Amino acid sequence: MHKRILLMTIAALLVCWAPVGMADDGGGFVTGTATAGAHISDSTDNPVRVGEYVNLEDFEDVMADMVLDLFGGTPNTLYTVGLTYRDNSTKSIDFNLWTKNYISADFGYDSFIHNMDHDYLQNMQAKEASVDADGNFVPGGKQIYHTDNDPMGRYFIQYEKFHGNVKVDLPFMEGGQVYGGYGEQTRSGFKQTMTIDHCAFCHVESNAQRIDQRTETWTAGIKGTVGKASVQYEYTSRDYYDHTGAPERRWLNASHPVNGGSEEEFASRDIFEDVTLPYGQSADSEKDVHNVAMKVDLDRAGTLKGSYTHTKSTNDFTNIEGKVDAFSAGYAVKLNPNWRLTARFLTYEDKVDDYFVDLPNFRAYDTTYGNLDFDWNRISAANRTVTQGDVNLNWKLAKRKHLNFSWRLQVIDRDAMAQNQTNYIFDGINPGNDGATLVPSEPYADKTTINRLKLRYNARLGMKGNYNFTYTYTNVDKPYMNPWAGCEHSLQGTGSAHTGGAAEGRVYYYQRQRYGNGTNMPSQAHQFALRGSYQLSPRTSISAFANYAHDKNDDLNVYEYTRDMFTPGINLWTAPSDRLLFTLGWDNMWVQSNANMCPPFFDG
Amino acid sequence: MDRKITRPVAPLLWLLAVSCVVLLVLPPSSSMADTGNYVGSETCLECHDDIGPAMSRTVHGNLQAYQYPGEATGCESCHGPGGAHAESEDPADIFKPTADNGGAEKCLACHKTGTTMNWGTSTHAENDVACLSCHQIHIGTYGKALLKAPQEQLCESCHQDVKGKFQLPSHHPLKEGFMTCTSCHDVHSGNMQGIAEGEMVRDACLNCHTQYAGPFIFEHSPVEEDCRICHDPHGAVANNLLKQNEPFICLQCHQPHFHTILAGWEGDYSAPPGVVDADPGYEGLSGTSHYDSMKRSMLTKCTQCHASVHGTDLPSQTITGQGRALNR
Amino acid sequence: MFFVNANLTASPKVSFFMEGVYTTAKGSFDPFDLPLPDDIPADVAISPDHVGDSKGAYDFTGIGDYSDLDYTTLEGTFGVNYKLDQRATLYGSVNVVDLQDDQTYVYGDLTGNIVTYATGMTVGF
Repeated sequence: MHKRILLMTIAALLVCWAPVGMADDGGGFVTGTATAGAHISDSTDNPVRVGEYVNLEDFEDVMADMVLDLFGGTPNTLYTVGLTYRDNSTKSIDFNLWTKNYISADFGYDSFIHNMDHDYLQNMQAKEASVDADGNFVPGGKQIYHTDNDPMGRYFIQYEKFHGNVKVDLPFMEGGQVYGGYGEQTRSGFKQTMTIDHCAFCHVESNAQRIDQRTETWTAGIKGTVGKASVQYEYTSRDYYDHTGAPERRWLNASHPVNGGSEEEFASRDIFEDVTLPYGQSADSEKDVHNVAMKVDLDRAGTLKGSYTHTKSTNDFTNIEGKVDAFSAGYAVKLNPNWRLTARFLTYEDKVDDYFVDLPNFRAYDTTYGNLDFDWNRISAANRTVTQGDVNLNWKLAKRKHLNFSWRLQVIDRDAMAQNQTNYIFDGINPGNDGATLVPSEPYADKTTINRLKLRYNARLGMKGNYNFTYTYTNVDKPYMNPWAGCEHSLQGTGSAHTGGAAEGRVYYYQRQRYGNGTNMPSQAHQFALRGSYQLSPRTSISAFANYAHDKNDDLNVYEYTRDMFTPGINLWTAPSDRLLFTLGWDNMWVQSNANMCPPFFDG
Repeated sequence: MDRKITRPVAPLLWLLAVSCVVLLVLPPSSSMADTGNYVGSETCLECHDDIGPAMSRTVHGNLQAYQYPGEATGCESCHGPGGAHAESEDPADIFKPTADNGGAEKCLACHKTGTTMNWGTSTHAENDVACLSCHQIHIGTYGKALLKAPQEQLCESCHQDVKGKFQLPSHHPLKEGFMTCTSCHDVHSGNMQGIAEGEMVRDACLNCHTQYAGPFIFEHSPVEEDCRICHDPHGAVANNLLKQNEPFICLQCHQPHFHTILAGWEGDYSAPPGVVDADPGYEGLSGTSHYDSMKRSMLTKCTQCHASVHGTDLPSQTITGQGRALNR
Repeated sequence: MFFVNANLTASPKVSFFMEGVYTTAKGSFDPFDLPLPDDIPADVAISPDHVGDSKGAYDFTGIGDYSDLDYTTLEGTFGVNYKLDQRATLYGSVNVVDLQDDQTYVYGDLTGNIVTYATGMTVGF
């Protein structure tokens, strides 16, 4: 925070200096507006969502409004100053300075509040029904409870952002400049944090968690042009701090949900029980980015650019690291007066450390069917090599009539699109396997290939209007999905005498044998977009658009996913007289998705 | 906390070496060698006296000699040599950059680095958007970027469907004035996603939502893939910018709990004393159940239990879940 | 979403402005009834019509009701400017934002209304 205060002080000094400098020089100017006023707000019913970004604290009080916009200059400078004050949560300051003496700078601070809804958890209450031996309706054992430890709590995040950037020209080099900047965002307030304990029954507990998070970003760079080549290097360092301790809750001792017994059996299903632990933690993290980029002007042969980016991210709580190396290239050329070609290429590799998750053995006391080792090696879903490129051809059919054709190819090669849970192999489902066999967690390491074709036509209607039409077809081979989303293997014909219940003595989670794919990503997508505007008369103009998209995924193994979207809209601007101006508009968005849901098999 | 500056030495050295070779081999840009009958800005302003005062209040009107890429300065740095036009006063004798005649090349003669370095291969350029589609040069308005209109108006004039989304109940605070389109998008970028060069989509989100950056032990794989699998950043009906409300957004990739097929007991209930006796803080737990209460509990909002849906380092409770249920 | 914006210059000194946005936003989950599995082992009793059966209740027709959303929002601003001279303008405005929540979700009834009155003076220089 001290850095922000220091930089704000510098900004304030510069704000004060600018008008003084102008006065001293006697040759300056200043224009702008200043507003002073007041407002008062009041609410009825629930103000939280309707006033999602409004400071609700100061309602029913008269609050001062102040706005100042200055644009000024001296013989050696130009500057802008912006100040806004609405209430203590909603204010901003912005200052830009440009000098003829090689230096330019900008500073800014702004803040706003985000009110968040309160989940009262009222739906989280249930008790299982059962039947006794005589067929009578009786209470069952499984129960769900909730506890909201802050039932009157109001949750909000106060965002505060500060940035300061200074640039110094290097006059000995064309476009030469060194620059540095500091940015900070703080988030403070309270949020609702929840977690669940199922030692004996499902118990969702919610608490108010204080928010005190800060993100700091430092940037430094140098850029310039020598001959035909422009080069830029930039280093960015980002640190995230959470200054609050994670909230804690008590997890009960494991026991049978009905009679309170069987502690050993129930405890041995859990990683922890009878303990107070933190939850809702957000780990401090840091990120370093090096980026070097170069562009070469080849005159009539076009423009060539390339860049390399190296990123390293670290979780400071676990020391897990992630690294990204990205290369990009681009080429644009005007082939002749009517044809323009653009081509882009990008490849990057994202690699996050593996992490071995060491767990206690499941049902360790049961040496016949239990004592199973569920340890696993977490392979990050971020791990991937992405290679993509696209080519765009722009054809000028006639004056102000253009046809665009583009093709994009993207290949995403992942180490683990998803990672299945450790499975227990049942006899029958896997014939010949008649024991307590574990299959380790397996990553679904598949490759997604995306081909996208796009055709766009845009034209002007004389001097009075323009319109464009775009059609995009996307074909995706093996789109992102959860390969084990749902649908258990059938028990029919397994010969299993499965009756469920703890007494059976074996791992009975048939759900772990899920085989059905699930996703909301398409394997084929058609998108149509039409937009146009036209000036009906000197006093009336109209614009309209209509987008339609049909997505489907017919590569899934148990169902076909579909999504249809239609988005039309129309705007009318008219000025019936010199004194009256109207804008009217209508927008509509309709989306329908179809997905699959398998009935879960109940085993207990 | 120890900080180490990352040193990707080999690739950087390689790129620097290539850069040096290119710098040494290539001749200077032709833009530095313009020839023609230059008359100076004073001559231009003798007639165009309406532009002069406004232009003098812009950065463009106050450039120093070293800031021009070629020998021409002032008006002629963009419009080319004005001798013939000054002589004839014929508009045809002077170059007037427009969106249609390669005006961008004039702008890019100076704006070679920074975000505009990527303009030539940007999505906007690809779709015939030109510098002058959004910027005006002679008058300093709408901030230092010399925009023709407030930023949101400019963007909405083409992206009208996006404008409508910001009116939905869940939206980023754009219409409230606390964000702008360029808070997330780099309009000059050559990046295929329309965000800053060198960044993936999730990086743009994590600039503000850094608490979800990780990398975490227990991940939710779509979070690593693309935030837009679940969220529509421009606006949504469901809270938290979810593309569909819970539980539907979750059920597209997950099967419901098997407890959802349980019939519920009709009546009030309370926790068995034997269960909570050892933890006195939990006595008195009670609830009211109905036939569909198991479903209502588990098919209303998945994140009531799976609260750490963006990833966590803290294991969830069950061994068979292998700690990865994102409950903590 | 409907919106209207109007500006009326009633006289050289007095002008009025008005803006209104009306938005309806719905999200719904179509009701469905899961078919009873046809391969349930004989020893697992299933009777979805039997309220007291603990083994299964495959009637999911109600779950759409739990999470359906239905919001209607009306935002309106009406204001007047009075030009004192070439540089100074007095203004006054009233802004109303009304949200109607017709499908209560886990956050309770979000129906709410905020009215804001503002007045002041803008000086140009």
